[in-house]
Amino acid sequence: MRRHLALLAIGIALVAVPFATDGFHLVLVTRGLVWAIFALSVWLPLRVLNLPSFGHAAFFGVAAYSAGLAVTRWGIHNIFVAVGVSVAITCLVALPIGVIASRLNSVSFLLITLAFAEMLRSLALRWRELGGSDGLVGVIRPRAWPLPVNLTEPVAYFYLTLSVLAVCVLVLVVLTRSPAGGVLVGIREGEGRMRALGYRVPAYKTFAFLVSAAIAATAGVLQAYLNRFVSPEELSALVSARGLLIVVLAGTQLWASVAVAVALTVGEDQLSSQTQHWLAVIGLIFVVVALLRGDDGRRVWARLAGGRWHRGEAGRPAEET
Amino acid sequence: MSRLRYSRHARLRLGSAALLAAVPMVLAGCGAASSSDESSDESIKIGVLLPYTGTFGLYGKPMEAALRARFQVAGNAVDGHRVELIFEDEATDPATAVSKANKLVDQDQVAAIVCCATGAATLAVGPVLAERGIPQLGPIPNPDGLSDFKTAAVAAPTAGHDAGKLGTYAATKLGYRRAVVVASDFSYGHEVAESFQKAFTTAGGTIVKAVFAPLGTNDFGSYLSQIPDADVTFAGFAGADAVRFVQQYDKFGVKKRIPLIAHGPLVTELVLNQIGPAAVGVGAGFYYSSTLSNPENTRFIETMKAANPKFVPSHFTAGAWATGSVLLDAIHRAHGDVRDGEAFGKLIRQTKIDAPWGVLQFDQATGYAIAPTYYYEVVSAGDGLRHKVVGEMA
Amino acid sequence: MAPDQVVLQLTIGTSFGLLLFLLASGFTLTFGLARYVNLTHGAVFLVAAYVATSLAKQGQFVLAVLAAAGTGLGLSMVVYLVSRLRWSKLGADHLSQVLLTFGALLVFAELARVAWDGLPRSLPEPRFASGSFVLAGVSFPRYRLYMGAVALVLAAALWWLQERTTFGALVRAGVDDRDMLEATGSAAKPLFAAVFGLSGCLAGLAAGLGAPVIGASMGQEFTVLVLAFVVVVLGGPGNLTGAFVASLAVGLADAFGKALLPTFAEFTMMGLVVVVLAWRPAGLFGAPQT
Repeated sequence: MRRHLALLAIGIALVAVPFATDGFHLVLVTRGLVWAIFALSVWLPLRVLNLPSFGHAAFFGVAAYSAGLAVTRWGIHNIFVAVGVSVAITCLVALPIGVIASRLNSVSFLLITLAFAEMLRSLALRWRELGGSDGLVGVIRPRAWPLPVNLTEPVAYFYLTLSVLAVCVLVLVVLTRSPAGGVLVGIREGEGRMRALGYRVPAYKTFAFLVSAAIAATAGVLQAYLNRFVSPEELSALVSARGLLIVVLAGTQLWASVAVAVALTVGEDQLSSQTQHWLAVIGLIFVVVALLRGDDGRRVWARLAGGRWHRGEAGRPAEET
Repeated sequence: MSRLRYSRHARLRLGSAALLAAVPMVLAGCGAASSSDESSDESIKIGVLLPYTGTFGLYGKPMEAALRARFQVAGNAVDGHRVELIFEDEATDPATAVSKANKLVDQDQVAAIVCCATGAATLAVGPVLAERGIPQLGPIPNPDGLSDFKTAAVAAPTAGHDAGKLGTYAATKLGYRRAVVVASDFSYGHEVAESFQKAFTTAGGTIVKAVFAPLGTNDFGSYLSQIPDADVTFAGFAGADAVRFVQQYDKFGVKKRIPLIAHGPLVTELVLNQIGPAAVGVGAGFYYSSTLSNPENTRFIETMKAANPKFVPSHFTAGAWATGSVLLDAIHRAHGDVRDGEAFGKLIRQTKIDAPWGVLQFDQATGYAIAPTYYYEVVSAGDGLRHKVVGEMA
Repeated sequence: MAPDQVVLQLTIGTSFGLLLFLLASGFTLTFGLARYVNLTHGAVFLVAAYVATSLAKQGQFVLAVLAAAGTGLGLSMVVYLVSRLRWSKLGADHLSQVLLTFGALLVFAELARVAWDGLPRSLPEPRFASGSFVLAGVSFPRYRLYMGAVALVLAAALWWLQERTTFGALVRAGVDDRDMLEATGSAAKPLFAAVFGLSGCLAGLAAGLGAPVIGASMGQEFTVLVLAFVVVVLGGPGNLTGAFVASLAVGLADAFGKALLPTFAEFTMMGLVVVVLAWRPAGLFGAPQT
């Protein structure tokens, strides 16, 4: 009951944002929502499969470029078509990475995903047809047919982003509660056992990886149209790190990622206006979060608040009252 | 699957999360409140987007210092109207640049924005500012692409322009017939390489080989060992790559057999002494050199050195200084009324002032500056390396 | 490709690969023994390189390299000590390690940026190893051979340390089976501290030795880290021999890739990684990790 109330409160707050803010902050919150969707994509391999991906910026960036190319080169003028095309391209790129990565243990997975993303970034820096280091400019927002909205208006774009976020949350909720979701948790708890039971573990891992890549891709498309350009920085390690930070701060709960993502985006903006050393401050935040992380991914503030809790086995839900 | 039911700790989490979600709303609300204030301030506000962090982060502070110094010389006012500079970090990230540009316009109500030091950020901010009718002024050479926007101007020629002048000069005045082109594989490198190539071949020369190395190449050995015989090598690198390239060009013995010329940034004052003796004899074509002797350059260098004895002049700071001059002049001709963005933008383009490199005026059609291009060489002096200006390239 | 070109690229690739080994060996040691992913390694290299370039007067080269090694040692120990604040979590959970060390990387990189104004810097070659000689019809800098030779000597010393000393035996035992190591009574803590320190020292040496060639510049903390990752994953985590072979492979692939297909530099690296991992997911010499 309380959980539903909290979710409702957040939902209402988000829907009401355009009425309570000015243009600049509306765009900032929209940006935060895009990061929330990206964080969801990192949440899936991390929380469900215990695989920390440091390379999801690759999917974010590939989709952003696809979205940009869709309107500038490929003559696509409908956002739903653009999303479809970009997600498809991203999944194609994700497939070989996923197949290789699913055979690696979690650390090699982490290292290799980071290395791949960085290599893609340096490729984007050099690829002149994509704008190279200047990035892809002239990206206009496509139409939203059959919806009667004009996406060039910030308010309309905000609601579009919010709706896509809701859809992604729904997808993940359905996935985690489905039989496939159960298999994934089983893989996390004991890969050997699942194999012995006859499940094709690499296939499930790759499937989960592709779903998460698709969600990251959706965030990438929204980013491209939000900014109306695409730069190689969308592929950088900082993007992936930000996703991980949000998920870690938010704990196991999906919806908490949304709140943390928006807060972090707004906070980072304020911070960078205050000091040019803001990257070091972000670094310190990372260090502090790492030191204060609870077990089972429980939230940092709960620990700061000094509450007691049970140290259950890894993965066991909180004790019932 | 089991559902989580909520213990005290979980309630604590929920509470903190709800609070967390409320924070941005409150911030946003505060933001809305303050920006709806009718500006009763007399001062004219100019936004400045510079990179303080990221790959180009080294330019932010020096450029800010130069811009501030220029306004200080004018007493931070024009005809009695106070002028305020508001600096933001674009973090060498175009998305951040756009976000900050919006903030400067929405929250700070700036009359114009100086942007940017990186090509990507400049091009990203371009359409945004054009849409909102706020003039944009680039302080240093920027890529082509701003000419579509009537309210944008750049206080420097494009990199391609100077590289092209060098190409013609190399073929005609320096008498080179065959050239090798080596450049950084990103937009800057390609821009200067192509402009040089075009001009050089139009003037009758031939390009024997063209090679592009990825940004951040540590080891140019493999490329250098393959440079064939030619009269001259043209290089298009900047920053750390420039340091490594020039050093390795010498170490691999290529400098002995083929002279090296380049677009200015290869031997900019900021990295010249780091390169070391390998830079001696390298020629460059550019619109600015710290050793140019004219009254404005002297005034610029002396003012900056007075504030900071370790000041090293370069086109970054000279450009920032000149940008300040342009703004001051344009505000003066606007009689302090800069609320009409389009009109202010026009006035900026009509500016003609003395910059540290000579006369600065704008091409009315494109908005890019018309400036002289000089040819200079690196020489060894008592306390290190410096430029020696040979002359102006016609 | 002409035979003398091949010799030339081999030399360039090998000297670079050996430098890479010094850098990656530290990373693979902390990972193999302490199961600790130390992303700060890149920033340690960066700061050490800048420190080396600060001692740029003639005759100070050896001092510069030693200063770099010391800086590397110090910074790694800082990371270790901060991690010890909550070793129960950080000793075991890779994600926490990643977060902490990535954060430390950002902090150290910012320190470097402030201290050296973000400008690229270089270190002049020492007089005893400067100049060039003719190799395969081209002038080849003497310093690169010297750099490769020193790296080789250090690699041999590292091998000797691992194979012929008690310390090395403990490290190897710990890599193979940490629980057994602790069960036999050997204290893990001082061993981990020593390995952290050694890894930082090696990174510093790589930075100092490499400074006359690649210098110090912002952004290296990431590029160097990616190279280290690739070497470690290819060679098998914790495996020094694997890291050695992989470093040479990467160095050679880089050199030949640039010479033969200059436009596809990244792809030679990516291609190498994909091919090796598809064939051996645990790396060339790695044992399957639990």
